[in-house]
Amino acid sequence: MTMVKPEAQRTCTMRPSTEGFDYWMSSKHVGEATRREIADADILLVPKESFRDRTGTFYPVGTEEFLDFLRENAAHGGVKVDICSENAAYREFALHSDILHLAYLLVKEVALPLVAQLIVLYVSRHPWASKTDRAVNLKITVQESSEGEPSDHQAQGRTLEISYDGPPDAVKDALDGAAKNIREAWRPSR
Amino acid sequence: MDIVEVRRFLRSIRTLPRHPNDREAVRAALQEHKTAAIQRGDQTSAKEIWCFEEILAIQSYYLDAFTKLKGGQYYDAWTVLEQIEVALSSLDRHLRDHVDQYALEFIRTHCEGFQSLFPYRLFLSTEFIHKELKCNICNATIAIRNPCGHKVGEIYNGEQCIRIIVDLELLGASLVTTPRHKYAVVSGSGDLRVRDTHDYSLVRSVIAELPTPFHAWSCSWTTRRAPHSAFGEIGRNDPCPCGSGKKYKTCCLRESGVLRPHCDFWLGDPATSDAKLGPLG
Repeated sequence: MTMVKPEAQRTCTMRPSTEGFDYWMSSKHVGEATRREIADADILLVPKESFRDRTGTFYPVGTEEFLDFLRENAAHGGVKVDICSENAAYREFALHSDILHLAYLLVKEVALPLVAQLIVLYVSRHPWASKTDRAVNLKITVQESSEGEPSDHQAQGRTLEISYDGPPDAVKDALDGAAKNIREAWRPSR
Repeated sequence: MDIVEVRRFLRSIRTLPRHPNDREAVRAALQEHKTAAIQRGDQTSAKEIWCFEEILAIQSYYLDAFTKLKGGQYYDAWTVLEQIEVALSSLDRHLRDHVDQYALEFIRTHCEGFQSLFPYRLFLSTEFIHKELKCNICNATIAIRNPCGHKVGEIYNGEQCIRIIVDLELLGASLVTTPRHKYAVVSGSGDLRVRDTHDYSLVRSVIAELPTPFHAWSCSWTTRRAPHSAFGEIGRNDPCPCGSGKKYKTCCLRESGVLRPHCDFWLGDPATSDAKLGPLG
């Protein structure tokens, strides 16, 4: 069967952000024990702190599977994935439309290529990945790695936020383009 | 009935007529085999039997949907087609390479085809916050930092792992065109089973031509310009009947006709068949 349906609109934007690792490490939503656990994360799932006039730690439905997937596939490279939430405070929101909302991510610059690959793979396995009238919503905040200490987020670098809303089959190009722009902006001489 | 006979039964869906008693007998046999597999700790067999149960359910749904379409029970058929879509997406990850022998690819394609012919465009869809979730396998409350170890979608003891919502907050309901599930069709006439004013002419035209559930057909949706004479009652300043949201005079009235969806329909394989019945759109 062939059907003509309007494609989901694609928007991909980048803007400076102040919500790097320091921001989330001092978040009021996590206690001291969790703070210690997430301190050395390379990829951190971060919540929406407000949702429909409510405050807390809100993640999109399916975050448990997304977290599992990232952990399983990032572990080979020694990349640590964690989530910025306490068990009791974790809430999932289920929105009406058939949009794949992924949990927002905070990643170290060195982990961005891996994250981009994993997101593309995760989206491609979604049941409606081939339907161009459906959309994916994601946000990745990337924190610059310090020279010589690429994995040390204690030495805070610049942060940029990538936001994507659009069809599943355009995620790869959008993330590849964003990663290239970040590389060129932060490492112009390489 | 042993597993070999079950497999043969499931493969014969296109060729042998199905009686409800046959389905019940297969279902009972599968349950018996699954219990035995679990008792001997054979998770691989228990998972395979779960797959057979799902295949049986999907095949039964499809036959049921076809019967309902033939009988003019369009909304009921629609809900069964949605059940097929949900069940296929659950089964997909476990059975990706073996779907053809059980006619699942045929069912998927034709299920999508039937859905595309329905006039439903708006759906009621709810928004929730899930406050507490449980695992259906171990009954543990889901703790995001300390997971129970059972992965959603995987098969344990012959059952698919899902999350049960124990506590939720309903935020609201919205009218949408792409809902998560398509059961709640918005209708101006109330209960669709009681009074249904939708135009089912496309579905009716197609189903009338199909002698059996596994008679192949296909359709192709495009757009074409319909003559302005068909829209004589629409004023120049009215919204364009193409649905663009612009005024008629600044949209299709400048063109040779009004842009409308158009459906061509073929019996058999469109690449080889000349039994084209369209246009129907």
